[in-house]
Amino acid sequence: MDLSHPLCRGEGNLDPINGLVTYRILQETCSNPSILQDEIHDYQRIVDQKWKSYTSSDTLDLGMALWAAHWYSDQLECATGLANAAVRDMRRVFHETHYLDVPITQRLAFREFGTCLGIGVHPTDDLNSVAKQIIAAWEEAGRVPIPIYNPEWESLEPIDLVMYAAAVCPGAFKKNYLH
Amino acid sequence: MKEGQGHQGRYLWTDAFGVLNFITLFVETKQPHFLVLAAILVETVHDILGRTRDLSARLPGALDQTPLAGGLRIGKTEAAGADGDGQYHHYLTMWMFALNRLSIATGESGYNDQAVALAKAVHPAFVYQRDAPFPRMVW
Repeated sequence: MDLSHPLCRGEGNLDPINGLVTYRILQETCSNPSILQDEIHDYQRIVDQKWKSYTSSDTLDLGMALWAAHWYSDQLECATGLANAAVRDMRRVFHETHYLDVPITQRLAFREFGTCLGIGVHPTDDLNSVAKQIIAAWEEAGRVPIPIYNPEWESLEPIDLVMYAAAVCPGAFKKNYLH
Repeated sequence: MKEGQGHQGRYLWTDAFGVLNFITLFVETKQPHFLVLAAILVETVHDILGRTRDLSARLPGALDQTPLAGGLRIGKTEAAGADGDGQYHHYLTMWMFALNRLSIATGESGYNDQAVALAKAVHPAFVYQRDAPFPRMVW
């Protein structure tokens, strides 16, 4: 669990864009305007190579892609493209394959709250209603805000609840929320 | 968190969301104690996930003066195996983001300095072939 060697050799779908966005935000807050420029350059080169082929059908992946991209969707071509791709794929998942018709017992709340977070920070008319439906479905199922005891899902209670809160009110996740 | 939910009650992804939700609560309610709760959560996470699982030492590479130089554990319940404790890039970046937002919300630059120190420390462990035209990553 130290940093001496990788435990998994694969490349995460969103790791490069998460790195690019997060390191840029950190640097913009820092008094040294180039403190992370080498690291940002690394991430930018990986993202430039990959963003045009981004696609996903995973609700958490799509939501977090949209969240990350929204930070620079008005400044970086790759972020604009990723945001558009995430919205495109969310439409496929929710409008074309009718994901929300899947029985709720076969779904995971926190992954879908990720979708809601993405839509919350980057609203789109037709997807805003999807976010509302997701939140309502889990509230009606008794998973949030106060979970009905379910031993199968007990270990997921904390992640479900913190991501529910962020889905309902994205606040600090959103660009320009803090001044 | 209860027993079985994270290691020693901590899980880095969930706790990053916790810090960010506290900041949202502060902004929405104007109640300053939510920032205190966020700060306590940050300190607790660094004290547990910045240390070995038995809490006897900081993670390799970290010192008291540079407590995040060894990264932060995810906080998985199991020490090893397919779902064992380790470090995930996307958990670390979410934690850096939470520290950054807390820095802005409190006006304390030290939180962003911690995030930058963590960013510097973990980057070489996840990004390789940095001198090649296209670097690669592991997660």
